[in-house]
Amino acid sequence: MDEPQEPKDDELVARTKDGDASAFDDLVRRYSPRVYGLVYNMTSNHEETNDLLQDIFLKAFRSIKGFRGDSSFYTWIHTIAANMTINFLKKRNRRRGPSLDDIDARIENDPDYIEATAKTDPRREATLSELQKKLNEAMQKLSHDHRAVVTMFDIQGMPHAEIAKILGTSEGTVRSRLFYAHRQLQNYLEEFRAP
Amino acid sequence: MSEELSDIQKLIRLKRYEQPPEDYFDDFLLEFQRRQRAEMLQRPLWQIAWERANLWLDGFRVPALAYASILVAAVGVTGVIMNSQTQGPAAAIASISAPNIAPAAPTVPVANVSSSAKLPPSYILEKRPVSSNAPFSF
Repeated sequence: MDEPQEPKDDELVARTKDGDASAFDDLVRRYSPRVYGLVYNMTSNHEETNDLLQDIFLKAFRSIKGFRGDSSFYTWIHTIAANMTINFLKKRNRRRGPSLDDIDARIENDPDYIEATAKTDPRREATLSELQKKLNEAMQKLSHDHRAVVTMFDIQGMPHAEIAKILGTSEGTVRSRLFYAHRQLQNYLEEFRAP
Repeated sequence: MSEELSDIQKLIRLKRYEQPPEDYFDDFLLEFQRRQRAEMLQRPLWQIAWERANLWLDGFRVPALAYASILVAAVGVTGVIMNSQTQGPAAAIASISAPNIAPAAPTVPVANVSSSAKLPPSYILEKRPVSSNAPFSF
C-alpha cells in the first residue's frame, strides 16, 4: 500500500519516445521474464534465447517511435518477439538441438510433476531431466506456428484473443492450431500421461 | 478426449519452471543497456535523418504509394538539375570538362626536333632526343 505506484506502460512508452532511455529500461525489466518464456519455449535453448531477447528489445527500442498504441505494449512486444523467433527458427532449421542443462528445482514440488513421475507406474519412472528432454523434444516436433500457440496458451496462460492479436490471426485459427498441437503432443508424450 | 488433452496440458505446463537463474535478468538488463547506449552513440547521421523523415511522413498518414512518388520526384528533380548544369554556357563546359593541366615543364625547342628528324636514328633517353646539339639554351 505504501509502495509508490509503478508507472503505467503508456507513460513509460511516452517517456521513451521523448528520449528517456531509462524509461525503456523499466519496460525491459517488466517484460523480459515473460518474453524470455515465450522465446525459450520456442527455441528450447538458453543461449539462443538470450541473444534473441537482446535483439528483440533493441528492435523494440529502435521502433518505439512508430508504436502508436493501437494495442498494448505487452501485445506489441510479444508480437515482435514471436515474429523474430519464428524467423530465427526458420533460419536455424534445427541445426542445434535443445540444451537441457537448466531446470529449476521448484518443478519437483509441482503436483503435476509428481503425478507424471509417480513411481507406482514403471512406465512413468522418469527423471526430471528425462521429462524435460521429452517435453522439449515433443515441442520441437511441432511446427513453429503450433509451438508458438502452445507456448502462449499452455505455458504462459494467455487467452485465445490475445494470442490471435499477437500472431495476427483469428481466434478460430488459434483454437484450431491448439487442438492439432495437443493431438500431436498427446502421441509424443503418451508414456508420461496419467493412466 | 478433453480429459486426455488436459493431461497433456498439465505436462506442457511444467515447462514454465524452466527459468534462468534469478540474477539473469539483472545481468540481461546491464548487457542491454550497454548495447543500447553504444548503438545510440554510434548511429550515423543519415540514419537519424531517415528515421525523422519517416516519422514526419508517418504523421501525415500518407498512402504507401506516396513514398514511391516522392522517390520518383526526387530522382526527377535531381535529373533536371544535372541536365541544366551540363547545358550551360560553352565557357562553363570548357572549364568543367577541360582536363586539369599541370604547370608547363621546360619545353624542348621545336626546331631541334624537326631538324633532328632528318638526322640518322639516334638513341632516345627519357623521351628526349640525344644529339650533339644541346637541347636547351640558357
